[in-house]
Amino acid sequence: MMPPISESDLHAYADGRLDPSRRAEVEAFLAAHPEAAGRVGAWRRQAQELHAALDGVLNEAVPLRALPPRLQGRAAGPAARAAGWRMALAASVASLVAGGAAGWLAHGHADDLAARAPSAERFAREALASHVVYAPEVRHPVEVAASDEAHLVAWLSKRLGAPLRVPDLRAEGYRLIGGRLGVAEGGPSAMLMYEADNGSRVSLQLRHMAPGTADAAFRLERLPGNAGGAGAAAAFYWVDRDLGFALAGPLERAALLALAQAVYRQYQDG
Amino acid sequence: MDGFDRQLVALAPRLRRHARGLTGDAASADDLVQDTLERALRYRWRFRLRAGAWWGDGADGLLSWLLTMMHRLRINAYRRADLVTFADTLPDVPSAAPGPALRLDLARALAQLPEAQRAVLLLVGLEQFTYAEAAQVLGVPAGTVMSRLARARERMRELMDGAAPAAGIAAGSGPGTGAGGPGLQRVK
Repeated sequence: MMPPISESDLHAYADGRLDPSRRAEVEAFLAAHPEAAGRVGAWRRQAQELHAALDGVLNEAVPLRALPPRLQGRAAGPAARAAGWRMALAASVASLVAGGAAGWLAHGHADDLAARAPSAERFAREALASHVVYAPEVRHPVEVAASDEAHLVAWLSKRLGAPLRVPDLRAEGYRLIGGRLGVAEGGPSAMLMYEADNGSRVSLQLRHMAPGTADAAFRLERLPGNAGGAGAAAAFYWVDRDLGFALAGPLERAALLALAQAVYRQYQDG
Repeated sequence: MDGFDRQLVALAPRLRRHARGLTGDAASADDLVQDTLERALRYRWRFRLRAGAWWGDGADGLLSWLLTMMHRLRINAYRRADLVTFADTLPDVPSAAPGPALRLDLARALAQLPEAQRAVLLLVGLEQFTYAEAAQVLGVPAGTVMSRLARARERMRELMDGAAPAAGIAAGSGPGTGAGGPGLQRVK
């Protein structure tokens, strides 16, 4: 006989921590108990609201106030420069995305930025900065894992306001690990992250461009200056039928372009 | 800067997000992040010596180690209550912001939770830590994490949705639920 469903089971269910057989039992229980189902739904909404309210902070510039003097250093040396450009990028993206879905504290800057139309170049820069922020995450690079692809697609499509398709890059050696919602100037963006066997990660970011944005061919965006040196991230970006695409990763131009073309082809075929 | 420093800087955005949720206030959050990173630099050898943890293997474990210190700093500060203010009204939220009602409700509701419950809600709901990981960060038994989580979620539901408190089923409350009134709850 199955053990009775406890309050703890409901929380573990809401957090996706149950094994499949117990999950099925909880789902059967919830189907018969609408009051409990309502509570579980509310708990999940709380988590979404937490992300909506706080994720904007991830894209804000890290102010000096938050760093001890030792970490503020811009002294010579590749490590310091790497940290320096990371912060510089965060600073630029924070000022760019303030008008969009960024956290509540960013809204103070919304007015002066709202008038500026989003451009493909800016989107590419934001995409590159987001990639730099999220790709090194070992534990939580994505909010929804690839194992839940149907949910991932439905969720990101809804937030993006456009049907999302997930390009298959396995033939190019990259498998999907998941996705997250990002912020781009003036609206949300969807970020899909892929990983190769050697651990190298690329991210594809998509957003709705303003209606009437001209289609644009592949262009390359790099980190400002010589930041990062060899192996630094770059992004190919393009605009196709009001959808902006940016593919970012620490790859050589030719390799990154091949991936970008694979994405482009799959969107053309569909 | 060495590799450890670089990893600290890379995790600073994650720490800032967590601290913002804990304190509800941008300036206090950034001070808390700085204090956390100061301690991380001072006690870096402890992280390197932890069983099974070697930072050269990547950032794995570093975020939870940092959050452990951040939560301890919060508790210590609560013991010196004159040093802590929790913003119960949020600054800088223009009424024209998209979805202001929802976000304000969330922020206000979060601010009304006891610190111990807010900590669990952030670790599980925002950082997606397992209950065992959250228990380790907070230094409490897993059962305590579960009971605090249950209380936090029901309290948030009352505050955000105007829901009546649920009767609950087979309420899984364990020893040391340690929730309680506003202000400090000692978390051990």
